[in-house]
Amino acid sequence: MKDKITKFTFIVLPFSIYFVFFLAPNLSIFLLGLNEWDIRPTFLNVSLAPLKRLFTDPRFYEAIIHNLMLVFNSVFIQLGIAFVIAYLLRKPIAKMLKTVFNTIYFLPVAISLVAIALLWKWMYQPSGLFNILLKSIGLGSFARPWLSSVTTIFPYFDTPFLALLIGINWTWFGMYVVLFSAGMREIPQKYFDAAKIDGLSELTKIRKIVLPSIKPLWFSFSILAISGSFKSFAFVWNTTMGGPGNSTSVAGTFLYRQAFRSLDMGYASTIGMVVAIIGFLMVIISLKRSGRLF
Amino acid sequence: MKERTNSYKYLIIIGILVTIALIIIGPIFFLILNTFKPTSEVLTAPFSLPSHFTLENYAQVWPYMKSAFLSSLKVTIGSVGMLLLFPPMVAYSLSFSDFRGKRIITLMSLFGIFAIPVAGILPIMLLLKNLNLINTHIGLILVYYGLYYPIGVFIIREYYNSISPSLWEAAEIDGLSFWGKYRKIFFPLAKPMLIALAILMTVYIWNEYTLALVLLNDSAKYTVPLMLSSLGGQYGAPWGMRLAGIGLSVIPMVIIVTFFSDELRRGMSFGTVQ
Repeated sequence: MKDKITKFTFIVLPFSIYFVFFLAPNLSIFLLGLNEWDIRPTFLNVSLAPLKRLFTDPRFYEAIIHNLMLVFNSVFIQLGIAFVIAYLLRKPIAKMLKTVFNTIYFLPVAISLVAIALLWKWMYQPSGLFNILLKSIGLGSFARPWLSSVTTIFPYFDTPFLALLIGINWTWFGMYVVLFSAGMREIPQKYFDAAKIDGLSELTKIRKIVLPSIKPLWFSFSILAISGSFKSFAFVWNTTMGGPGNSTSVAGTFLYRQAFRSLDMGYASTIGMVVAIIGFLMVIISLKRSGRLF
Repeated sequence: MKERTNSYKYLIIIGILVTIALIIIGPIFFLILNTFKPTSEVLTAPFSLPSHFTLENYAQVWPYMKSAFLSSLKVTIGSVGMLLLFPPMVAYSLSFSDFRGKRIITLMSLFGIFAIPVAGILPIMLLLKNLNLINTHIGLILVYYGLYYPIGVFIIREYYNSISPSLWEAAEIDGLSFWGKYRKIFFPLAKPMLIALAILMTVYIWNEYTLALVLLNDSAKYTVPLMLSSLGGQYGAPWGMRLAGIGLSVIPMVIIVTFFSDELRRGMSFGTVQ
């Protein structure tokens, strides 16, 4: 009997706090998002009208396309560069040097995202470090006020967004270096020994040994990358606030602006609902493709 | 001939690694350098050495940052404390006992891993408003607990699931109760996991921005990320002060990362690389 009471406390108390303060609100977004309201929420007016409004709003597509670009950027560029670096770090280099490199690459991951965002905001000032750097390597013609002037490179992709991408990659790639390094450590050394005996070239070694072992990892990390790209708010908001105009808007900034600038919280919760669904779907798809869906 | 090509390749590899390291550490170095310059120079000549070394930025920003550090400390300790106390209890129960509704509880506990904080901020804000917990540190602590509870349960449950069931049987033979087994065996067993979890959660919660932004209105209650953001925002502080604020929050982290680099990296890769 005493055991029953213990079991009850062990589960009910921790779980209910979680339920009340996190799970229930997140689930209620589906009700909130399908009602029309602006400041006082209502659950009674369920209709598809808010969805229609959202899907005919060009700002929604702008934001989502930017999110998808971030996803593409993180899954291919961030993971790609991180993979190369993690691979290079496996070469025979002095252990001390490796620790130094690893620590340095990991630094941005541990520093507050807001601090980093403000750091980049400062570097992108017209007379800031970034432009100075460009001038010093002879690319001075590219110097510009990165966060306030808009030059379109291709549809939905302007110079402020490019600036954002650079900052984001700088920040996050170190985390993936750590993850890939941990994963590569699992590859049995004997494969490499056999390859050495067979006299395989570097490229073949990569293709036949490293890449196949890395594939499942790539999917796992992609899940991280995807959910991170859809969550992104802190970095974007503190550098550009989604601007200028909408050139760096993402789902998060769109939602925030609707809720707290236009004071249209009902619409904002519709955005939240759709983002939650999209993010959830993408994670499920990744899990399925990596074969880890339970 | 082989020796030469090897060291040539070696140099290129080191070159690449060093270049990337410089790219990473460069901005941080210049950030810190510029905190010692007067604001006028910070914007006009960020690259050069200070004309005169000054601590005025730090002096100006300190009152704000001190309040923010205290708030963050309070919230982080509160949340991480709850996260070290409760999720192991749940994981233990899920791994080692059966009861009605176990599947549902498991599913719901792990479901939260997929939740996207940005999407759910509004209902959470409305909830806290109704409970009069808006703009309080306690409210924020409870929300952070809810946010990271799923990951905690997941990681510890995986760990408990990997333990051989004979341990439980042996403890049963010794006549230990449910609570007894937890206290004497299974909680101590999870210590290494809990340490890694504690480090990870501390970093996440300390740096959390979005929820804190929505749930705290009073600048006296701001956590560190919020304070930095308000200093650096549209109507914020002069740049020298902003950089000093950033510097104050970055420097401790740099020190922690330098000394705990291995643990941090291990904690981060656990659960993803399995």
